[in-house]
Amino acid sequence: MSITRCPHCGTANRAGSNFCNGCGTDLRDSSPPPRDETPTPDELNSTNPSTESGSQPSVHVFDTPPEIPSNPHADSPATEPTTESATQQSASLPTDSSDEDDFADQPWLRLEFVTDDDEDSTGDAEDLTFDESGRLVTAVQGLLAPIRVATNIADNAPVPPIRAVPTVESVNNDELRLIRGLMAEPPTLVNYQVRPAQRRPRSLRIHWLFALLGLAVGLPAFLLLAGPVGRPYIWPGVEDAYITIQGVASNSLVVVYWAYDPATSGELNLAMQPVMRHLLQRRARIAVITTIPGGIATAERLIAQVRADPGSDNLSLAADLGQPITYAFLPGGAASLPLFARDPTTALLENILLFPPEQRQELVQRPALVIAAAAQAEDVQNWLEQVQPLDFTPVVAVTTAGADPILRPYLDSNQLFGLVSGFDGAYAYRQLLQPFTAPEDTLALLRQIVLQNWGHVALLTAIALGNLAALLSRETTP
Amino acid sequence: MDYISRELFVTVAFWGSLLMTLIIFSGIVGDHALARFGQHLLVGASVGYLGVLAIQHVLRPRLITPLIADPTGDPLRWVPLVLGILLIIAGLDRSFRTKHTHAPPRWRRTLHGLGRIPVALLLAVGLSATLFGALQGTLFPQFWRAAQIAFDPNVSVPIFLAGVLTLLLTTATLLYLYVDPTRYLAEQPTYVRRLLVGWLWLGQRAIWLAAGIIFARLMASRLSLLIARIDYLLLTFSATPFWRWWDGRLP
Repeated sequence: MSITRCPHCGTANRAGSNFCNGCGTDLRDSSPPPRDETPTPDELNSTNPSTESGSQPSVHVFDTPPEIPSNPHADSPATEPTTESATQQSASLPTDSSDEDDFADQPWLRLEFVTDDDEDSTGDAEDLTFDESGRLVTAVQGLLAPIRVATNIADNAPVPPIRAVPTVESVNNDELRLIRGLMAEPPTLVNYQVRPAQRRPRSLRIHWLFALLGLAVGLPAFLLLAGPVGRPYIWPGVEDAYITIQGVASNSLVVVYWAYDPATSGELNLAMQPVMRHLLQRRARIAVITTIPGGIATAERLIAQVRADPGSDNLSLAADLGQPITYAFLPGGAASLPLFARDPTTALLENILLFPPEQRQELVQRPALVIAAAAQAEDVQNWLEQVQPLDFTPVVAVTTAGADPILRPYLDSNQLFGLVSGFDGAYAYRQLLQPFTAPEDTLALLRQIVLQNWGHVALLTAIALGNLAALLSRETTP
Repeated sequence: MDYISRELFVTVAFWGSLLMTLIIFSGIVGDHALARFGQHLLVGASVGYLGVLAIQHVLRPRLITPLIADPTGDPLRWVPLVLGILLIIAGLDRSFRTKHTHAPPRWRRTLHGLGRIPVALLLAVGLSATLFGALQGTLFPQFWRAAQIAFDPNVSVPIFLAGVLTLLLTTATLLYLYVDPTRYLAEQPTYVRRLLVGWLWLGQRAIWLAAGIIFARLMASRLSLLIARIDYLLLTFSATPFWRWWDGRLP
C-alpha cells in the first residue's frame, strides 16, 4: 500500500493525494519529494527516528507491502498494530500553539480529539485501527462531521496482508467454465427461507398410472363391454363446418391440406371419415396436398376406406361419377406454403404426379374451400398464417382434441369457417350426416365413446386418489 | 396362391405390429434395450421413407432429370444441387470425423464454413416466413377482431362481456408471466400493490385453467389413439387364421 504522510500533522494519506485528510494541508507543495522505499524487516522492527525525535516527519511511500508472515520478529510488540504505536505517534505529532489556533474552530481535525461517542463506546483503541472494509478513512469525509483517520499506520507499522489471489494458470478449464457459467447470469435474490424437507417427497408412480389407464381401456375392449355410453359434448364449430361443406358447389375444387400420418391417424381418421364422405357426396373435385412424407399414403387409405363403405347414400356410385382425386406432395415443409398461396395452380400442376401433364391443367382451378386436416395446431396455424391472408379461401379445420383449444380463437375471429376436433367432433359431425353414414362407422365410434368413458373414469380415480393421499399425508404447520 | 399370400400377409402384419406395439409401449416401465430398438426402428423407417420419397418425387423428376436432359437450360437449377452437395459433404464430415487433438486442416474448416451457407438459407427462409406469417395471420387478425368487439356499439352484451373477460385474462396472464411481485411491487403505493396483486392472482388462475383445459383435451386425444390401436389389433386378430381356428373350437 502506498501512503503519503502529511508534513504538517503526520496523517497518513493515500499516495497522490492533493490535500491532507487530517488538516487539509496542500500535499503538492510538500518537500522533500516523495521517495519510494521498501522497508526491510529491520526497518519494520525499529521505530522511526524522525518521529521519535519530534522533528518534521518525512513523507514515505510504500510501493510493496512487507510480508508479515515472513517477518521473523512479527511477534515483537513494536510491530503489532496496537494502540501503543498509535499513542506514540499521536504523542509525536506537533502540538504547538499556532496549530491550536488553527484548530480552534474545528477541534475534531485534531488527531487527539475524542468525541463523546468515542468515550462512551468500548474498545476505542480498536476503533482506531483498520475498519472491516480496510478503508483508511471512515465516516463522512469533509469538515461537517468528525472524521476518523486510521492513525496507526506508522512507517514501522505492519500493513495488513493482502489475500493471495489465485492466478488464472492455477485454475483448470473445468473450474473456469464453472466460474463463467456462474457469472453469466445475474444472481437471483432469494427472499424466502427454504425449510428443510421433513420427509422424502413422494414419487409420482407414473408407471402405475399408465398401467391403470391401459387396463381401464384394454379390459373393456377385450371384454367387448357396451357401456357406459354417454353423449359427447357438441363443441361450437362443427355445425359451421357442416354448413360450409354443404355449400360447396358440385365440381368445384376443394383442397385438402393433409398434415397427419399413420402416427395420429387413429384419432384423426374418426373425424376425417365423415368430412371426406360429405365432400364426396357434394361431388367436389378433391386435391390432396401434403408436406409430410406419409401424408399421401394416409389419405389414399382413408379415401379408399370411405369409398368402400356402403352407406345409404350409395356413395361408391357417386364417387365413381365424380372427378378423380389428385395428390400432391409439396417439398420444403411449411416454407413451401407461401408459394402455394401465391400461385396454387402452378404449385399443384408441378406436384401432381399421378396424371400426365396434358391432363393436369384440366384438374386445377382456384379452390373454393380448404380442409386443413392436421394433428398439430401449428400446421393449421401455418396455413392460416401463410396462405389464407393471400388467397382468402375459406378454411375448415379437422384436428385432434389436443389441438382444439389452441385453434378455437381462430374460429372466434372468423379465420376458420368450421372446426371439427377429436372423437366428440367426429360424433357431432356424424350426427349431422346421420342418414348417410355407414353402420360400421357408427359402431366404431360408439366403441370409442365407451372406451373413452372408461379411460376418463380411471383418470378421475387416479386424480382423486392422489389428492386424497396428499391430503392425508400433508404436513401441519405449527 | 393369392389367398395364401393374403393370409400370410395378414398374419405376419398382425404379429409384427403387435410385437412392435408392445415393444414401444414397454417404454413406460423404464428405458431398456428393446424399447430403444423399437424407437430406433420407428425413426429409421420414417427417415428411410422420407429419403425414398424425396428422391423419387422431388430430386429425380425436378432436379436430376432436367439437369441431365439440358444442363444449360436453366442455370438456377444448379444452385440447389450445389447447396445440397455442400450440406451433405459437411454433414458426412461431421458425422465421421474423430476427435482432433489439434486444429483441423484448413480445407476441412473451409468445408465446414461452406456447409453453413445452406443451413443459414434454410433457417433464414423458415424464420422469416414464420415471423411474417405470425404477424399477418395471427397478431393482426386477432387484434382486429378484438378491436371490433370493443368498439362496435351494436355488439351483444354476452359477446362484449366475453371480449372484456378475454382482455382481462390476457393482460393478467402477461402480467403474471413478466412481473415479479417481490421485485417490483414492494415500493409501490398500497392501492397499486393491491390492484396488481389481484391482477397477478387472476393471471395465475387463468394459466392454471388453460393448462387444465389443454391437458384434458390432450388426454382425450391420446386416449383416442390408444383405443384406435387396441381396436386395430383386435379387429386384425379376428381376421387371422389362428383366431378362426380358436373360434372354431369354441362351442
